[in-house]
Amino acid sequence: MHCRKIQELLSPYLDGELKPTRAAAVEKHLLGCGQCRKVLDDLRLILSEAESLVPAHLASDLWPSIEHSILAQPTISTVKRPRHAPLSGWRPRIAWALALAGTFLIVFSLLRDRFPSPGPDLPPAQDRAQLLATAQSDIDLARAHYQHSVSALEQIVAHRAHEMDEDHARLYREKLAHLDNSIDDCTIALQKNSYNIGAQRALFDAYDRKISTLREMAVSAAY
Amino acid sequence: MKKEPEDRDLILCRRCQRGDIHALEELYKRHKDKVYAIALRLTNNVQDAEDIVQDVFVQVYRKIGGFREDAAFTSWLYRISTNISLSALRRKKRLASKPAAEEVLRANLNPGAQRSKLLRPFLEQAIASLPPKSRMVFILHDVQGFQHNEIAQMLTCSEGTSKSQLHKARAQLRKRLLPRLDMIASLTHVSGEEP
Repeated sequence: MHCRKIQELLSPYLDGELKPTRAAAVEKHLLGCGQCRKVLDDLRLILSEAESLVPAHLASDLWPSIEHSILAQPTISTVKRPRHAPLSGWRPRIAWALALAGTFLIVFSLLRDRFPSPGPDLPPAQDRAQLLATAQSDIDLARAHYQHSVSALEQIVAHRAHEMDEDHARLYREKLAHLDNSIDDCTIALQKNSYNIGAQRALFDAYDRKISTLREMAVSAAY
Repeated sequence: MKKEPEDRDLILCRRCQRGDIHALEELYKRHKDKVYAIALRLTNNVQDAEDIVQDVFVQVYRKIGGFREDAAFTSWLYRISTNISLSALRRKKRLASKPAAEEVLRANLNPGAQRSKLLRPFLEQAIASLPPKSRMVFILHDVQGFQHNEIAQMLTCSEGTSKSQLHKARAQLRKRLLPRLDMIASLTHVSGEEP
């Protein structure tokens, strides 16, 4: 093989990608060709330097900016409307309608949980106790994580409470009260049977809604 | 069996999918340096790299619902990182080395090694002048140590494409560094060191 062809093969040769016969041909050529040996040495030096490049470390703490970008996502409309917009008189009614719809949905989901659709069959008695204990432990862990998020958001909301429109704040508080009731009901249901999949889903759904509501409150207070 | 760090990533991803922003914070702390390293080597600009890290983790939070557990979180994360970095490169077209980056690159010098002193700053500049795709593959493979199958996943290309881009990048680097490499070879020859 000519030097040009050999030099094209040197990079895959270094990575062990050549078939044994090809690799042997390259090695045979290298024994008698100083020019190609130099190319191989150059590549080895480049690779060794590249491997030893000191990894870059992020000096700045970017987390506050990331968190702010996420919390500022327009989950609800954050654009200020003019005070006397044509539909301004309808806003409280629309808000009440939305609150009623939300309440209806929560009540519906609770009723559905009280009369759950047939779920998975319960396992044999000997495994059941262990499964129930595992399920309870998973639920407790998830609840702890949710509570952690809820507490953090509640602090933000409390800090910004004075910036929030009074009517909106009242509506949010009512929605949160409904969600807390829902969480309490689910907790009671799960204390009776931690294997109740419907109650588990309703619990996590209520927590998700609570976090989402608190986040909306934090954002709306900022605008 | 999955490794422990991957299990932890998975737990954090599930929490993130339920809207837990603290889980994202932990994911950020665990992976920010690697994402930053990729972004810095690609953009060669500290400010751009920091912007990319920020964009990456905001995107992770927005798209976490679409993360499927059949692949490692890191592969998914680095795919987002490489996509955002490439978009930033295309947008800004800052392919040449900038003074801010040079300061960082000089800080990476290992004063103990003469060959490194002679080669490293020029290697950094030569990497920065590669075309974006070749640069990406070279950085991911030869600097960060990813395998071709992982790179193919990140860049949504075939392993063959990843390999050919890598060999092309190495050849271009050697061509650009040839005067320095010849100087090092002559110094090595005089001192009788192994190359």
